[in-house]
Amino acid sequence: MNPPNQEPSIDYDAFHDEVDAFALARCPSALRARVRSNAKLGREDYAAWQRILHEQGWAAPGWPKAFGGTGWDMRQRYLFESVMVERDCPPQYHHGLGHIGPVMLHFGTPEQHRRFLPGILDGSDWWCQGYSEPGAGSDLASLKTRAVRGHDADGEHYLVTGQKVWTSHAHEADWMYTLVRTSTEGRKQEGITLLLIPLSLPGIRIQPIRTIDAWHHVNEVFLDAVRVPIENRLGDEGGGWRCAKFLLDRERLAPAIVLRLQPLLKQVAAQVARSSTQGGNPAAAQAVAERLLLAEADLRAARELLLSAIDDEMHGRLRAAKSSALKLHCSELAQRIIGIAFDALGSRRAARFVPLGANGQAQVAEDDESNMIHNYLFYRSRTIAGGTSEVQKNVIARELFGA
Amino acid sequence: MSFTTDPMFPGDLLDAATRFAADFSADAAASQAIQAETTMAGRGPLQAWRQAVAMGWPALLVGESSGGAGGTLADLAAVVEACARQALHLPLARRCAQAPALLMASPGDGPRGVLRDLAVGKVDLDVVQGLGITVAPLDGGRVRVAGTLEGLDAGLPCTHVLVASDAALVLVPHAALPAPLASYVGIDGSAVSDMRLDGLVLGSEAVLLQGADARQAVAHANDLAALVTAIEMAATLGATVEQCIQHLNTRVQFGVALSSFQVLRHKVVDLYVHYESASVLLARLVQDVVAMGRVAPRDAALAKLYLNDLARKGAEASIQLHGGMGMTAELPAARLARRLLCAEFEHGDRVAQLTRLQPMAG
Repeated sequence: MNPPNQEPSIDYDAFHDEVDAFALARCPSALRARVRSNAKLGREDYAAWQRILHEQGWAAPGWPKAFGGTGWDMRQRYLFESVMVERDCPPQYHHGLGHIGPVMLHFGTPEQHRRFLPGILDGSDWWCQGYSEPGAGSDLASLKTRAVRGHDADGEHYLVTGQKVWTSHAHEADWMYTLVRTSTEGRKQEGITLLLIPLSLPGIRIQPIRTIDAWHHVNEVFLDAVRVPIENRLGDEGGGWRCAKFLLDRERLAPAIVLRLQPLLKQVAAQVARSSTQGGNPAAAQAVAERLLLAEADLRAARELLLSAIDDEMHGRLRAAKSSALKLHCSELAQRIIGIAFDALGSRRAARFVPLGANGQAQVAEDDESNMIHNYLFYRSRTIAGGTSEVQKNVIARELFGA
Repeated sequence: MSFTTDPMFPGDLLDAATRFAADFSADAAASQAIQAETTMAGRGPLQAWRQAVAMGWPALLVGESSGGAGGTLADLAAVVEACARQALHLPLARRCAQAPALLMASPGDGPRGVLRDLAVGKVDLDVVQGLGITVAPLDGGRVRVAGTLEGLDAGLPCTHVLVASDAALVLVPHAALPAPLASYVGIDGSAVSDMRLDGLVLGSEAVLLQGADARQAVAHANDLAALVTAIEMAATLGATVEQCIQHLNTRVQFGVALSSFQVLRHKVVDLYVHYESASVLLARLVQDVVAMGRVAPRDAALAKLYLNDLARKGAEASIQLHGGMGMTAELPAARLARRLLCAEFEHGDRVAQLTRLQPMAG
């Protein structure tokens, strides 16, 4: 590994050893076991780890020191994430630290920094993203949730009415950073504003969406005349699209996107090896071996793509096509990898996905094989969430074809 | 200006080699047409190859103490990339990587002398795969060599041929070779011959290596050639992406440019992502080779397996995207596609790489 922009004054080997020792000593073994088995993590899991990182002063590897971050350079961040992956530590919850946090740093007021950043850093505040709507998914700028500005005895506010959908973690979140329409004049992107909405406010109803993976992670959020104080607006009125784009551009360069695929590939290879001893035939084994090897090559390419994109970003020359190519490559690779496991397990587990108890009720199964099947289904969302593969291809195509 | 993909090995050498390759590319196209006679006298690759020899490319990887340029794989990679992007197919993997690697692995003054002659252009050396090669000692310091030679370059001249096999590595003067059993033009327009050695008598010094030493040297040189071929394939894929973009932006159907159709745009994006992935991976592997001073066999095999897969997809998609024109042999995009399809089978096809990789730990 040789990421760009090495700082000669930093002893990276010592840094790596320090992080490694910390991960081994402080990450609870039960939590690591859950990560290792690819179980679905919830707020409790993420928050427990975030508290430990916060005590260590490592709550925000990607943030500047002035805002409570570590101030690490890209190589340190890469090493940190590599160790986290190697030691089966949970990923950090991304909606606060990776998404809205950096947007707040860039667009927020000092008062907003004081108010919101501490809760993100210590993991006590939980955020979710209120972007998509029934009629505005890939075409996000068509969103219709209205925010009407008003004034009453308690001060200036917005009254927000509408519906959000595919809202991950809303059922366990405290806050939703929410794109709303404050104007229907001009280009549709110009009438969008970003509001920070407490999910405890009157007028908010959260309803789970049952998904094919049988895990509860997405929801519908209904907002009915929800009164949001004006100081909860992030950035300018009508400036929400800029915030959203800022977020998406950063999201695609997160090291975790690539690094978390490495242990998955190893686990899938091990799963294939176990399955092939249970009745596989040599020709099939050869075909699977080829898929695993090609996935390995794709994964190594993904790591180089990430490093190359980070280097380009640090030198101010990152092309939109490249960051979209990284997202496209990684999300489709993730599906290919988990698809190999699905082939290995499907004949036994596709019809035995969720166990039923004596009362006929669905039970929670968290064994490795079950988690692989859950993840196979969950990973369908990899090419949908955060900009579908088709949207990424449109972004790339605009650059390739000049229009 | 139409979109261009980022090169893998940018720098002065790439720029200079690009200018060189562009000068010869058009002539090469004429003489590489599948139906053409294969003598290639005075045109295209022959002229280009003579220039390449004059510039010392066959000894680019040879150390300065042996009269070579003392370059690294990164230097050769830049040259390979430049030629591939211009659809100028020269036998760089065989003659500039595999051949010198085999000589450098061979002990003794003889091979050293050949290396020095290679560096000054007195020797022009090709490599051919030998099957069922046997070497029988004779009286008077001579040996009798028998077996089959497959895929000897019949388009470009050479002074000597290294017969590479698991049994032995043998240096044969080209003039001593028998007439070919058969000759062919490949998918990419290159000409090859197969021949049978029925007891060719040579001086024993012609046998450079035998047994395990030969197997090891041949395997190592093939790894290097496989990696260089993968670089060529990635560069060809990059040029293919550019050709597809240019075609779709130019060609009008139903009153609009083909590039306005989303399904076609997305097909090109797939090729672009393949190129980006392959190019950064190969750039990294070359850096690793330069740093370690050797090719890691597993890396070479994995890279070739990967590019074999991407090259086939790239060639087939490009032909489809160009419609009927994609079937035209001399169209630049078709030349690139033909080369991609042919290169897949050089220095280890899919099955060969899988066979190599499966016993190797990941």
